[in-house]
Amino acid sequence: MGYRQAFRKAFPYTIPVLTGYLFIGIAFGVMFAEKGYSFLWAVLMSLLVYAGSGQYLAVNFFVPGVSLLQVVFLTLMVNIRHIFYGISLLEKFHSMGPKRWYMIFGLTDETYSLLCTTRVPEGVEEDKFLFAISIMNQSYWVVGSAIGGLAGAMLPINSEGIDFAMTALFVVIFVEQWMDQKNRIPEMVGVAAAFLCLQIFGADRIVRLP
Amino acid sequence: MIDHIGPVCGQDQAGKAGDEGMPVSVGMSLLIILAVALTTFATRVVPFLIFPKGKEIPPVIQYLGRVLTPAVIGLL
Repeated sequence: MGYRQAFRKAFPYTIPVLTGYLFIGIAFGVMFAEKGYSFLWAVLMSLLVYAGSGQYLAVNFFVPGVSLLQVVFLTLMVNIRHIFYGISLLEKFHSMGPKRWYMIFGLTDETYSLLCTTRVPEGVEEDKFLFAISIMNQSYWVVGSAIGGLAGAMLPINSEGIDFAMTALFVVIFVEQWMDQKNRIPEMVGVAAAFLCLQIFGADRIVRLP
Repeated sequence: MIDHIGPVCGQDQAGKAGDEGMPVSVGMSLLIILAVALTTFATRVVPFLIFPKGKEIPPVIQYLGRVLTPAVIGLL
């Protein structure tokens, strides 16, 4: 059974991510283009970094005099949640050989969510199926970034509020998980923690995503 | 959100910036992207470094893996 089959079987599962990533990818591309960067830069970043909220934040780093230490620190703050993602995929990835390095690199929120909730259909090898999901997801993200980068350079788009696309996508993932899981306590704890912190620290002091 | 990022390490060779109106030089732009890329990958690879193939995963960690992610997504 080859990769062709794996990609064909995996594609339907990635359609929700396709629509989501195209749009938030476009939003990212537009924001980056507004900074004066050609779409090739957006593509480069989406190839090397591949993180939704991380790249939204990173657009702000391109100002004269920014320090790399701050870049690393703020990126860490936003992406530290990824540390937990690997835990539940340890065994799955360990059986994937060298492919696991790309799988680890591609562990975005959406991909993680998909890898955890999708059951491998009959007649497809698990490792190829999972690999196909990750590759396709990143390709949507890269294509979206390119479209946004081109559109942002050609059209005078006011990108104010465009980063709300990100919040919308998180709501969608949240609802999907909510429907999918039997135990909803973790979700509720997360929402409660967010509200509690909002009350304690005040909205001005929270790094909200985006 | 990020207004407080002021000039910290001095101006970045201001002369070299300006490729298509880029606010930062090409070299610095590449460095920033590289820094973000490496930091992001680091956050994703940590569990795999702590628990390499064959090593027993403590039940507490397995539990956290099941529970924390839905919680984080809800928080976001």
